[in-house]
Amino acid sequence: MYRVAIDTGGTFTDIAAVNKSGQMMMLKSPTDREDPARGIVSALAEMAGCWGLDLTSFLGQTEQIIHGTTLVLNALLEGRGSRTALLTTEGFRDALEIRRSRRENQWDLRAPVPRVLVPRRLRLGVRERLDYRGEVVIPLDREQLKKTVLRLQAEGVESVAVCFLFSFQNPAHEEAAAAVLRESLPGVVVTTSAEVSPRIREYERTTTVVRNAYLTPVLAAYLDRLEEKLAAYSDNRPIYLMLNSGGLTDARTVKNFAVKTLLSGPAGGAQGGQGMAQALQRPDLVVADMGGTSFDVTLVVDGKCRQVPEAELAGHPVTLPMTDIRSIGAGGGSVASVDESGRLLVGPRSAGSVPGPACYGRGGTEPTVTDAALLLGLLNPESFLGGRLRLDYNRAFAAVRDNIAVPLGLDVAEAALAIYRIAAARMADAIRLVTVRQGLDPRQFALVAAGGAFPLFAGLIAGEMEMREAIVPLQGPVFCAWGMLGASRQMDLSRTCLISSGAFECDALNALVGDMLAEGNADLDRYGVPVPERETELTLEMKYQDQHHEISINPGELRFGPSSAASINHAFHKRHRELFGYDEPGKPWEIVNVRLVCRERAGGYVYPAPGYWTGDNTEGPISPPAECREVMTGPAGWQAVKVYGAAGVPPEVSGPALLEFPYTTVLVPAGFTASTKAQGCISLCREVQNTKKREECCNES
Amino acid sequence: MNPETGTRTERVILQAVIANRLDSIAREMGLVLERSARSPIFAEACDFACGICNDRGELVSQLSGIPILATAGSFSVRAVLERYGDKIEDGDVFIVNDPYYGGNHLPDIGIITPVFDGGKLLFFCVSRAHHGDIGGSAAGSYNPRATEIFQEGVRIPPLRLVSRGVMVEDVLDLITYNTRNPGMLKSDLLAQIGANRIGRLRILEMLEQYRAEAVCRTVEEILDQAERLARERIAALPEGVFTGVELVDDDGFQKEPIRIEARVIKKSDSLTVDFTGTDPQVRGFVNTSIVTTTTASCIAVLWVLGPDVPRNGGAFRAITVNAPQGSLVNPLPPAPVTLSTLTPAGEIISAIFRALAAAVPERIPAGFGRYCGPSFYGVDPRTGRFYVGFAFCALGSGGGMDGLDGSPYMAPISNYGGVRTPNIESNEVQYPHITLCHELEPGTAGAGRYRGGPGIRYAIRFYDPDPGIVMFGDGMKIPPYGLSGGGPGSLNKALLRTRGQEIPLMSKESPRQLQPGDSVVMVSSGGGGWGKPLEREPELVLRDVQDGIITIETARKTYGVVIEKTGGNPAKEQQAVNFAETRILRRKMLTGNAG
Repeated sequence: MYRVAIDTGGTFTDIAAVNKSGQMMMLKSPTDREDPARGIVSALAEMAGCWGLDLTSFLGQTEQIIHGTTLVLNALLEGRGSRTALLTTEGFRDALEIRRSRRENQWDLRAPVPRVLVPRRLRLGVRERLDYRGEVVIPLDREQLKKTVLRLQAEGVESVAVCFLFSFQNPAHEEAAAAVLRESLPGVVVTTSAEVSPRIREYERTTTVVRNAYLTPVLAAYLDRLEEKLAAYSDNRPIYLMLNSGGLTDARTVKNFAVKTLLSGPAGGAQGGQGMAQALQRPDLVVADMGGTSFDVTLVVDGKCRQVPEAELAGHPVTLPMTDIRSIGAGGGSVASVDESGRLLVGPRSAGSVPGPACYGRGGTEPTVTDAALLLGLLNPESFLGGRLRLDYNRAFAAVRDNIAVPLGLDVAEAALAIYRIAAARMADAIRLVTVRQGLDPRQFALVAAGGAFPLFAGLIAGEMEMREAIVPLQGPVFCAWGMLGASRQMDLSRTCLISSGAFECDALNALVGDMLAEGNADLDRYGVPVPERETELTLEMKYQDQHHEISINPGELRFGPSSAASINHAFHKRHRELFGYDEPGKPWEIVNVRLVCRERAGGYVYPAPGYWTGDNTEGPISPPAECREVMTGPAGWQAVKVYGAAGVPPEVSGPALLEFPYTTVLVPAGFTASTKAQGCISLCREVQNTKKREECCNES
Repeated sequence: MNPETGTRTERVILQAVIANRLDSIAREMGLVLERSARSPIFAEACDFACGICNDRGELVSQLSGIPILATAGSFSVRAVLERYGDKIEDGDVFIVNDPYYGGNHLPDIGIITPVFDGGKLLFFCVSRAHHGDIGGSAAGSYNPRATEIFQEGVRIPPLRLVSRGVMVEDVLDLITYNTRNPGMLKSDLLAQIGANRIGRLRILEMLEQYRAEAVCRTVEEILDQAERLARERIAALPEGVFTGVELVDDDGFQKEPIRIEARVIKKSDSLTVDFTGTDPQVRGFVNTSIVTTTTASCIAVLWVLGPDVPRNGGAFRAITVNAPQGSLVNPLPPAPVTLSTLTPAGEIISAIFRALAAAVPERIPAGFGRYCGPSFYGVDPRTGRFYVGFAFCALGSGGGMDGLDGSPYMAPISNYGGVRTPNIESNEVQYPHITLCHELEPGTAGAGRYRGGPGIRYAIRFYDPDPGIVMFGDGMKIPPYGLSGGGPGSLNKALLRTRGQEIPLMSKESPRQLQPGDSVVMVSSGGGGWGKPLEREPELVLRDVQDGIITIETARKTYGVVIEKTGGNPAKEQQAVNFAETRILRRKMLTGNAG
């Protein structure tokens, strides 16, 4: 039997598959932009071939298909969602446009605001009102609701979101309204805020439920198509979708909750990070993935990837538990430019894959990070993307010369170096923000370099951050797909409760947690996960009573008794001190939200062994004899470095050197040693303290 | 690589790296502050700013915060330098709020932490935050009856709050004891000190990594570059003297409007904003300290110069502000000033915008709404505790611009995009009132080819036994201006519903005791319109009708657009533009206007 993970991105569809005996195969196949499901089927057929099977028998022997996709995120970014209406409490229908008055850019009066997904004429108030305890102030006006329904019908909406004030305390009105809508509008998707995210703060809850309504029909249609395509080969292969939180849920459930798959792709990378932590016996990792347009950073602390209760995506908050992934616009395609004050900027704008970097020869004329890397000798123009794309040195040269070197009065190689180094510095800053910002010292972490482009930077950045080690996993180019194989089925629940230290009732808390457990277990029952294979994780989101933002506490127990108040009190103050540099013992606190994860205990990770790559590069990795190439990565100028092919990497290589693999090139900087580690990893370790680098940086003074 | 250009490459790299790093540090300070603070106006509404200054007090980086605090930190640092000079020691932390000595208004407290390296003072971390109550004779410290600063709260000149790492408890207690919620103020000062501590730590790490000389030299280069760019942009403006006038409703005592006159003198690559001609200082709290006048002037000019000019001390060098002493915009003590960051900060910006509209109308927005609403206070029957809060949720809207309709809920312009209003649900958990309505109000947007954003209707009903309110704000007499042929936005309105009666509220009132069950209704200004309404795309007028922003009658009378109901589904009133009749009507209105 096989487990198969498919990660569909904008450019590539990556697949990783393991069999029962722990063998693994991986491949990269171009994404079919017109019909991603068709692309998946052909990539799966290729994967089946690698195991010597046809697609029917391969699927017949597949017990789980795990899928991560950027489809939902892209539909959101490109405005390709469904025609959506929003019902709110009467008098409160404009939260989406009011946006709490916040602007990302305060200095540009013309900066565009994020798209309002529901126009005002489709945002309709319904007479009803609950108070802050969830008690009815105005009963739901069903007559008025019926008129509203007729209006929605006439407008031809495909999807309706319902978000009433204080529904997180009492969902009865939302549920009653949803029932009326479902009955009178067959075929229209209806989604309520209490079922998507029963948490306090109506603006954040509204944006979350509206996105869900807007995107759910898109995801459902795609999954229907994918299931239908696969059914042509084999019935009933269960498909599990990767959620924002890093868990898996079945396609049937997720067809109602598209908003939970916005980070479906990159969440796999965080899961992969957990796998690396196990493999390397290193509990604290920074996992960084550099693709064409973005640089995603996530942390593994104590062997686990970090979760946040909410995040902002594409300009609006999503108040759902999510893997803590920070993304900046720094990728191989990031464009370099000189602003009017004479400052060199790299990113966040990207040339994407079309037209792409100038060196792709697809019409791009702006210089990118990839162009700079090529000019610096870091990339082999013949073997880029496993030899799928031949890079054009002259175009890269012209782009950097015309746009950077001439305006700044530098020569072309120096301009390329500046682009490369600034890209590296921006990525280092992103890493600093997720580590130091959370009070974590990056020097305690090892850096995992995922994605095809990042291994060119990882060593230098680890050096700059004074991290001891950068690790390049050989599955790096398909890291998210590989990570998904380690994910397990789970249910994420979150409820607002508002329990204060002054009136701490363990019964109320126990009842709430009990309800949540029952709901989570019902899902795992449906998947047939045996009880001993289950685990739960409870988090309390707490604050001092007069604060406005919560911090997360792990209470370490699921049932609370009389002594719990003291232990919760202790844990809260301790965490507050860690995060903000002070605490105030004795001040009253409150529990605002309770989060619960119910999941299946994760199986082990499988690590790649030699011959793991399949597809068009199975012919045996290109193994040129170790050659030398002129490379520049620092102020020391051009240096001759040794270049090793995949098959010819000795167990230890001293930098400077380049290691060329299908889909990725690793730079071993001067002062680093690369060594081959267990579980298919290459480790880059610093040999000396980085005082030397400091001198280089400041050599003019 | 030849050494000279190698130097230049390294310099290019260092500039980018250090500029980014400083921004990251300022952002991190802001996050610490926001997430741990207590005062709602500061933690929930984000009325604060964090930044880094060089050893002369010039602002080097500031990412977090609202526009009107943009240069405030710089003034606070300079006040500390002036008072303590070479007595500043490593491990010290300073506090200041005096508008006549480095502050802008009393509720905003500046906390300043010097950063030393190798015994040398190199940088300052500064955070400025608006606290919920700073004492004085009105709860919440917005006191429309104040005639002297002493009635507005505790006045703190630059003082040492932490001495070589040890808190000066005497100073801390003296300050907090004079406010209505000493515990909250203390917690929030700790949060500010904590944010600065983290900023200082990050700067020290950066200094260690890149060496102090290299960092300091690079910072100076960054400032010079910003100045150069600001001057280039100024040079590209038309040469001349441009005058703009804006009025403030009143000061709460005198009934006549107060005049602000801004003369913008553009000569070659420098620009002066001269307020000669502005009315003398007034009795009420709408005077503005020089800090706020300068900040308002700088941000107004920088909005016009373009979003890519860095908002740092280098860019500010290119702008000179001349505010006569004893005038509304540079009063002599002890004039009260608390309203100044809202009004007249917004009106100073308006006056400058209206002046520059003669030079570059395509870059200038029409008028924004002004802030107006009550602070409310009482004892919460659910907890038995005293509370004081603000009606943040009554914000007005932005004006239109060439090519862009105004944004709803973005007023006043002095806070543009920097505040974050609380959720209705959070408010109701926190305060003993229920919200009746929080929604865009039809018929408020200033008409124009690009119309203003519609205002907001916001109403709350109190259920505590003894609620009180203090109305403060402006814009009940003077509407947001229209520009280039656009119409003005609507006025702010407020009324009290008590025992079946409706009582209009004024923009500046004495504290007023209410009854449980009373409600306050506010309708905020829509923004002004930009360009002639008759030139607005008929399809956009139709959309506004469908969205309930304007009526069919307004579409016809103001915009000259004829909208008809068409057949089809009876449940849905299909509407469409009658283009032929619209053409005729618009022609008629144009010639009518001409005649």
